[in-house]
Amino acid sequence: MSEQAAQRLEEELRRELREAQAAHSQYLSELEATAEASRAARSSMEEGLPGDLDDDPAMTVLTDTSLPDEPRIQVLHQLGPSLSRRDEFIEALLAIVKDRSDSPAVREAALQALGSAAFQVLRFRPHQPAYDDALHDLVADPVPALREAAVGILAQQHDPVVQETLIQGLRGEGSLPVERERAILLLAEDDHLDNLPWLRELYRSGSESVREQSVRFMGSYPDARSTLEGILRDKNESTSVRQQSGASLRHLAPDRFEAVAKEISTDTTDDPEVRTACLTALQHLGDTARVYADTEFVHRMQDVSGDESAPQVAQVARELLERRPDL
Amino acid sequence: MTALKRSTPETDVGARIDALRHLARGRDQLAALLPENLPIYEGRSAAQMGRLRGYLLAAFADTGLPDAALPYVVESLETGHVAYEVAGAAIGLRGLKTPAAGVVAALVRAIDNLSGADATVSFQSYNPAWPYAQPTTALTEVVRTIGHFGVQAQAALPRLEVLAQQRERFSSSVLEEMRRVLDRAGPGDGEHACDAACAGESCGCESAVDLGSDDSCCAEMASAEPVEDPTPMRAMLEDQDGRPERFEEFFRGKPSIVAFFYTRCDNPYKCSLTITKLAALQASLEEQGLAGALKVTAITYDPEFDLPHRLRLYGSDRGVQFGKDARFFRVTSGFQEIRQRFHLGVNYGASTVNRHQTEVYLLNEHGEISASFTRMRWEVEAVLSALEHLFPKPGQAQERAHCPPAP
Repeated sequence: MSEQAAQRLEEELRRELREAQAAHSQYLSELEATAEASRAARSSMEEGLPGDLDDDPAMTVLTDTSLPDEPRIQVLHQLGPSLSRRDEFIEALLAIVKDRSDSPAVREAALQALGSAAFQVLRFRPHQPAYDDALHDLVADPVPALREAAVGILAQQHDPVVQETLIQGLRGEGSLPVERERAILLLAEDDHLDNLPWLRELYRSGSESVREQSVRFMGSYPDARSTLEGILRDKNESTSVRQQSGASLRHLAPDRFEAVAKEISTDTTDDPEVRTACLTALQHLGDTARVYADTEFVHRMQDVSGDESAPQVAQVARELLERRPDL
Repeated sequence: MTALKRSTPETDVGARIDALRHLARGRDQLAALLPENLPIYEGRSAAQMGRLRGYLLAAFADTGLPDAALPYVVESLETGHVAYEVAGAAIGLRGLKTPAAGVVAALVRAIDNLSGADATVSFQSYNPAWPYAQPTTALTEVVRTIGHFGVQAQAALPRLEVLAQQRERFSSSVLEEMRRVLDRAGPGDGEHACDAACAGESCGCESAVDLGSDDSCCAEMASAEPVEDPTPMRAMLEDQDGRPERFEEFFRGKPSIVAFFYTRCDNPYKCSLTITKLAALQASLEEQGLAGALKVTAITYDPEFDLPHRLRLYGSDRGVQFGKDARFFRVTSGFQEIRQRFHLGVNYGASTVNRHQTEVYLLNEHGEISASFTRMRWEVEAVLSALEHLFPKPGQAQERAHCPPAP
């Protein structure tokens, strides 16, 4: 970069910084004004914030449920990261999230802010149990977005309470807090649960993307090997689902994958994309020495490499042959 | 009462625990439900196993804690990573009249382990619905148990005093509980030298789990009775490089250490730690010029999933140096034989292990079990010491390690 260009960049960055600082100052003075009005209204109704929080405009605005959603949500967006270091701010967020009479939009924003704060694992440790309690409360919340977010967060932590709720719901022994499809996928995050029957159900009934996810999760279950092999071979299945099935089978049973992939890659009636994926995996992943040692397969690759009806497959076959260690 | 079976619904097992806690001889029957390899636990999920274990352990608060159950309680305190199980262990421990130093140390270790993983739990009934009528948390229960033992747990107080200052680690309610216990103890209590409760800080015997009534600090949990089994093992193994071995042939010729583990274990205080310590043991043997004297091995509980490349990665990530006498195995046939030979403390859900104990064995040159380190956390030094006793160098008289039998 020339000196002139560097200077221009520096000026530009300085200008952007000045603008951001000005915008932030502007926001803080607007916040102070909103807080002042809020304090006045609260004092006329004899409602106040405890102790020194009364002087904090961010907390005043955030906790004033009589204000419109926008200024309250803006506090979270503008100041959330810096406020999340303060215990009283986390406690205020938890109170908002748990308050079903508060605005759903503000509660959602508060839950997002809590999620960001929880990402700072060490700093968040003292609040984790209360946060989890709030999430457990939300599992039965009437606001679907809050319910779904809470179930998702808890399921990813392998939370036993939410897992039990989801399992009971799937068995018809209770209500499901989220869609059945989503419930199965969330449970599948924990491979120590008996998820394979649900995943098979999902595969039978789901859309292409859901089938793909179900096949991906099946990769944790050795009992799913034959199912995965069947899906990989199924010419009526979509390309993406078959490719994912190949990846999952390779994860569980590399030997089996190698055998099936060799068959598919040399089958001229099969989907060229699946054949290409199989050949690429054989060439780059697993026991490549063994692949090259299979003289019959290598011989068939020579035929494939000249197949003009499937140029993409032929190209990968040529690459595979060129990389033979004996050449 | 009808016998509990694999097909017994989880809630019925919970109801049985409730029934037993009120019977005169219920405590022994409850203790009989503790081994994880019982058929009634087959096919259950890890989450179910955690719930059943926590509820079962907590029941000993009502019945009194028999000696046979104590190792299980200490195990859950030392290696439990799920709040409900640890809470149940802490509550159940109150069924003990006099806690030994190692038991108090386990309580302190549980606080450290659960910092950041505490959660609201309830023992009001088996698997109650949210919201709980009688909520508590695991750390609250652990601290309460320290308070319950009062002067008998005074060795824990210096560490508790330190922990009570750590606002950045614990919730306000747990800190309040710590304060209550410390205030009740009063100043001066717990000013004790070498208490095992300061595990990992100033006590040299970090792993010590003395479950007896005396105050000796570093007893190990090991069996020194060689288990001779005349039936040859037909089990076949495959190592981390895909090489096949016969169990019977490989474990002959020189002593071996065998650890059991599985790569999908989600408890950081069990398999991952076991293999890390196995690597440390291997390094110690190397330093002492004993690298070739012992085979250092590990066998997976999950042979269907733990293919050779996973075994290799798991071991090398934790510092194991693989070689001719340092191998990780999966069992390709005859796993049942191995389960029986070692009385493995493991059971399985639909997909993988649902629960297991920590288990490490020393085999003699005939492949017979000479010592075991099971249930409790084991330390490299203890294994090295047992090796010295069991397999003395030429010229040294062979001694038997003086150790209580494993449960």
